[in-house]
Amino acid sequence: MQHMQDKAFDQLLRDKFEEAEMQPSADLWNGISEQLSPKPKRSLPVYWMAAAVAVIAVTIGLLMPMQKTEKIRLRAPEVASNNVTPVPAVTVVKTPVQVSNVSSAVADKVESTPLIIAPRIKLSNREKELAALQPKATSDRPVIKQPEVVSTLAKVEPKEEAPKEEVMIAKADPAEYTDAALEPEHQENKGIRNVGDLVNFVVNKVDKREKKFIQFDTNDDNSSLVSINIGFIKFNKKSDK
Amino acid sequence: MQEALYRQTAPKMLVVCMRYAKDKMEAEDVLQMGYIKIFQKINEYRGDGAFEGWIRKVMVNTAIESYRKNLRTMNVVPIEDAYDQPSTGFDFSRLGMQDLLKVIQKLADGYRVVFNMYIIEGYSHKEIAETLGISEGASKSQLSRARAILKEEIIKMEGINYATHAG
Repeated sequence: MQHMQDKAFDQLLRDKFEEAEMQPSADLWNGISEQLSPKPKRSLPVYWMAAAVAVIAVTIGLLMPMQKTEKIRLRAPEVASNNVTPVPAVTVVKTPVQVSNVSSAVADKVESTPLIIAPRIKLSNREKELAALQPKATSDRPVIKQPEVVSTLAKVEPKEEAPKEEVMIAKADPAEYTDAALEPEHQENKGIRNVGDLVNFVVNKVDKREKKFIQFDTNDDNSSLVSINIGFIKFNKKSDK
Repeated sequence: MQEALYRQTAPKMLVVCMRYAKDKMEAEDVLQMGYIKIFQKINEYRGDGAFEGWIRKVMVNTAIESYRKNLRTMNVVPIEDAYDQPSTGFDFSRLGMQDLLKVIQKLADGYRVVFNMYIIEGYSHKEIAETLGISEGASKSQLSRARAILKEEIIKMEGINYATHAG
């Protein structure tokens, strides 16, 4: 009996909806046709945003201290160019050290270096003299050598704030001398040891300015950022000294 | 051509959507989704059976899908809503479709969908259980509760209507 009543009830409900109609909102069709027609292509902003994101990612990558210790061994002599530092105070000190290593025997090796781009400067007599007076450098950390170097430079003020003249020399030739001089004497296969070296190498080839686009200190296996010069961003660790 | 089809069939389909939805806004959302599907899949219509039947089927499926998507927000049914009403005879002659819709829309979502699928669309409890991912027993009990609530509400409404007409 209950069952029959349910069936009757259900049928009554069904009948109520038979052929029933309700008018949808007037603008509903517009929404449907809008979704059916293909949308106009998105304009440029998406691509600009993608480009901006890429630039930010690269910048962050460069700013982060490089952690890789992977050694890439390249036998090319130009590797030693990582010793080039852009800061005058340091460079000045370095130059004599390098010069000291360039004994007369080294001159022909300089000739054979294939990847040199920097203009070569002949050693002046005075520089050769200085070189002869220098003790052999065993470390490429130049700061230690400083007092001796400065003292031998007769006309040069003994202060670390080096004279302009010497800076200019330093800037012009380090890539050259260090190539020939340091390579055979201490590290046969120094190579590009880490990412910092690699970056320094590439930057040196491209950027001939005194303050490089970016520089890394690569004395130990963990390179650390030394300086950046991207126009509006300038950062230099060593200039604090 | 699409618009003509829409104009011709939408009023009936809106009623279908209204039965499954809580209110007209929700119903029109489903209606819109359903028509977009219909126009995208219109090639799939094989021409067998009534075209309107096919449209209705797509619309019902869209409504059930929408219910399932909203399932996580489904409200728990208060137990006092579900009791059996002493069975009496029904006089439906004065009950309007709009009133009936109001009563159906007041049902808990789970009751409403089972009610629609079983009583109006004619699905079996087995099909309902499979479609909604519930047991057949749950489908049956939800149906009987939905029925009980509807009867009670309709009787109440009839009483009000009667009083209004008498006064």
